[in-house]
Amino acid sequence: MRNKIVQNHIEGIVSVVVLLIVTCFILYLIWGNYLSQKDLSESIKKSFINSVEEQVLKISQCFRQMQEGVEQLSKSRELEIYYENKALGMSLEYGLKASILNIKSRFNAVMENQIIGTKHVFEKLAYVEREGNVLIDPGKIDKELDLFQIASKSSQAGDFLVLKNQNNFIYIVTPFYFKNEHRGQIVAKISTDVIKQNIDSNANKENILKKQLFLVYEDNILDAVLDLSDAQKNQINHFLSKTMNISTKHLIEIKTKNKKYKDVTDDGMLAYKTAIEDTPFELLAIISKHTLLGKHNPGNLLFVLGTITFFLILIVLFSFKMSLKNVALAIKIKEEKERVNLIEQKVGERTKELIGLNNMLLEEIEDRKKAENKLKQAQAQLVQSEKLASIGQLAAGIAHEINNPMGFIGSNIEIFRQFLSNNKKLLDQMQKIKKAINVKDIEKSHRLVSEMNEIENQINIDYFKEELPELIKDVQKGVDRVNKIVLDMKIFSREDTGEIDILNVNNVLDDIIRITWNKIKYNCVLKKHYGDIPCINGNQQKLGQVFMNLIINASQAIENKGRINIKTYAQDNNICIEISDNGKGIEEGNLKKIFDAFYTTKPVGEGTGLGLSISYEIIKKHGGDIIVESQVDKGTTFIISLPKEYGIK
Amino acid sequence: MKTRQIISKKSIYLYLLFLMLPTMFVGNVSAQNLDEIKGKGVLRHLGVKYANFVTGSGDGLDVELMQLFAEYLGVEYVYVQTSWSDVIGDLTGKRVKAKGDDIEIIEDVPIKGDIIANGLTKLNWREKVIDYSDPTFPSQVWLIAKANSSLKPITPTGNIDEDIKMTKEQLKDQSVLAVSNTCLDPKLYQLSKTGADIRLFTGNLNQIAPAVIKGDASSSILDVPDALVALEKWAGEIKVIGPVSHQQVMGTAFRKDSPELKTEFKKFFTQCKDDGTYLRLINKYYPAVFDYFSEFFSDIVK
Ligand SMILES: Nc1ncnc2c1ncn2[C@@H]1O[C@H](COP(=O)(O)OP(=O)(O)OP(=O)(O)O)[C@@H](O)[C@H]1O
Ligand SMILES: [Mg+2]
Repeated sequence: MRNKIVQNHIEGIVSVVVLLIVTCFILYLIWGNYLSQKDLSESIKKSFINSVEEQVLKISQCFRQMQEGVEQLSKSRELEIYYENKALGMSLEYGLKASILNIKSRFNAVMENQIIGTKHVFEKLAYVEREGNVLIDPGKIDKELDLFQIASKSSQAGDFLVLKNQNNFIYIVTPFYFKNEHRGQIVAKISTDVIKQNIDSNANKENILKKQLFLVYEDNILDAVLDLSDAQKNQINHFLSKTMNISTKHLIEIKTKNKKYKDVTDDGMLAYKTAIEDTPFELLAIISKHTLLGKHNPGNLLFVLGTITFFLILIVLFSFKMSLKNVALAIKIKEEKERVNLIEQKVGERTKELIGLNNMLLEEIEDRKKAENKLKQAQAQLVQSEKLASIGQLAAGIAHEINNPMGFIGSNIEIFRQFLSNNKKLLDQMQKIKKAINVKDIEKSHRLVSEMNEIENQINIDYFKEELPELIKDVQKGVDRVNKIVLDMKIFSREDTGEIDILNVNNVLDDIIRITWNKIKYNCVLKKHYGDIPCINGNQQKLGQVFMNLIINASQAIENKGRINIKTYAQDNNICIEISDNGKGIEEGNLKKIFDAFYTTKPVGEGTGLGLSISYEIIKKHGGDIIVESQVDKGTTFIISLPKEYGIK
Repeated sequence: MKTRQIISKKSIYLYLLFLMLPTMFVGNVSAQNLDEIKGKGVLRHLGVKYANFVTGSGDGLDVELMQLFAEYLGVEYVYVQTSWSDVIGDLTGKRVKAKGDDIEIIEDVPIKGDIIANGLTKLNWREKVIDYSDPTFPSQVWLIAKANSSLKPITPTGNIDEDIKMTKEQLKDQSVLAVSNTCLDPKLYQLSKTGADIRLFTGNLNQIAPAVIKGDASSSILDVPDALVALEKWAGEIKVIGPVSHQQVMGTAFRKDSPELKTEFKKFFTQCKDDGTYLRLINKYYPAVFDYFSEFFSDIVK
């Protein structure tokens, strides 16, 4: 056993060593490739730098040509003549103007004739006298420049001037001396377009690179060197902020992680900045690394090299650690196996015990279920008995309700009886008259007729004739009322069917009000405010039970005299029933309890405390809600909301 | 019947002849000069060497203008050199002498040319013997002096009469050059009243400035086109003191009996102005003059 483990161990070490050798060979190859690519990219970079330097030479030549052009003007005879004539005291009107015009035409000629490529070198040429007046200003240069400032500043020949917000123009300023005295300045405005054209035409010739060249002045790009949009300008400026710190004549690499500048900077840029001789300007060349070097990116190789090496070290370390671990592990496994056997035995024993316990538990659960069912039955009985208790409460009122129609039915029947006995007297009399007429005893018949009239007066026959139909109608009404009460009672005391009817809550309320009326009418004024509400699905009996309970609660809360308001209305997807009273109210602390089963503040025998808890249950089953608002001594409002379209859950 | 017919025919012929007579005569006279020129195929340009109008070296504003005019007429151009004293005689065949605004005919001379184009200033007396074209060029007569002379350039007042007065006041006891029979005739400007020592110059007008510099006189009157040339050529050596005349105009001159040529020139000149030819010529010979006389050139500078 031990030997086999050691053998495995040795095999592992050998395979790691072989892996190491192979990888080292690959690394060696990559390194060689890296070195050669590095040489290649160095030479590409060098030729890039050379091409930029060449362009700088051309640009500085271009600048020199401009400076020379302006200097030439500063030696022009026309300016001298002007100052000579001025010295003679000649006036502008008579003579001097001609001198100025001659200068002007000279300046114009220079502007016309100085051309680089296809562009006029000088956009504008002006001459400003030391005193600040602009003598020659063909292009109205003074609108852009504070010429007085320029004039008073004694400059060197060929000084450059770049204005802050006039980036695309460069001014060359050259002083004019007359008899060794500084008299004024020649100001030449040059569009950087000219230089741009120079750069462009040069760049086109060598199509190696799509490099971007910028004329830089005091760390700012003169923008006409390239046609740039504002966005591009921002990008470049952002980029510049990074490149400005670079010393001239060094090719440096710039990386930016900012996605915003991605199109300018892709995967890293190379920047090279170099001074333009004899000018305050520098030329900045920017090129994307990818464009310049293409696939020849030794950096990438170096990265690959590094990555492989890193993983290699990881693998070596890992496998070394693993092989050490393996030996220890093999020994451990054996010991572990023995321990497991022991444990398995113990587990078997435990399992048996557990099965026994489990059976007991199952029995317990069965018992619990039975108990629960019993409880449910008891609960249902309780609910029914609560209902019956309500009926008990109502019984007295209902007896009276039936008594009342019975009373007038009885008295009406008494009147009928009287009417019938009177009627019998008249019938008897009529039969006597009939007999007398039959035997043709006319005298007797006359007497009998006058007797009959007397009887009619006695029994007040006219009154009976009028009142009789009314009395019969009243009797009928009384019978109907009793019938109705009996019917209601039947409905209410019926065993719960759980049926769902389409019902109008307003009608249900009316029914309930009718059968509770006798109980509440002594201390309550009841007002109904029924809204136009749609029919809903619901159990008429159960909802009736809820309303009855609430109405009875309300009447019980009223101690002397009070009023109950019942309001229905539709709101959103619900219909609402508000039952409010101005009774004694509920203390805030008790509000939470009133829906609990068996909570009551009423004396034993009067209240069971189940009314609201059952009501709550019923409303919930209807998918509705019941809330209460109450203030002590002011009154209580129960608000029930029921969904318009919903069956019992 | 017959007789009546003959008589009526005759009278009609006579009548027609009578009607045609004046038209034939007029046509004859007016067409004479232009036809002659076209017939010979030559336009003879009378010129005096003067400023940049006729430089003397084969070019000049008026030389080029006349060459173009000859081309326009379809004839050959010939330059005829003359002098200020002869130029009018050479055109009209009558030598005249100016007496202020009037003239005196001295003698008949042969006609040598057809047109004077020479920066000829429009003067009252000249208009009595020759016809002028529409003004071709503005002018004025200035007083110039040697740079170191005691004459001082005036300070312009904005009022030309005042300026002339101030200029003339300085002439007292100063020697001044002038040229008879030209626009620089001292009589035209009443120089004698200034108390100046007037010296009549006989040389070429181009020579006046050098003469002043040389010291022939301390000053001279000179017309503006010439003065502008002089100021450029001898800058620092001469100075302009001020004006001695109001603004004048120059024109091309014709014989009074050749209106046809004058009309033809008018057409030609209008065309030159319109197509920019004249502008080009003035830019070439007198670039400064536009700003001096911007009003005069307002119709050709757009
Ligand atoms: N409108 C009300 N005004 C004041 N208190 C009320 C009102 N409605 C209910 N209560 C209070 O809530 C308690 C619980 O009412 P619930 O209807 O559940 O039982 P009960 O009326 O006391 O008895 P039961 O309705 O079973 O006969 C009442 O005892 C009472 O204190
Ligand atoms: Mg209750």
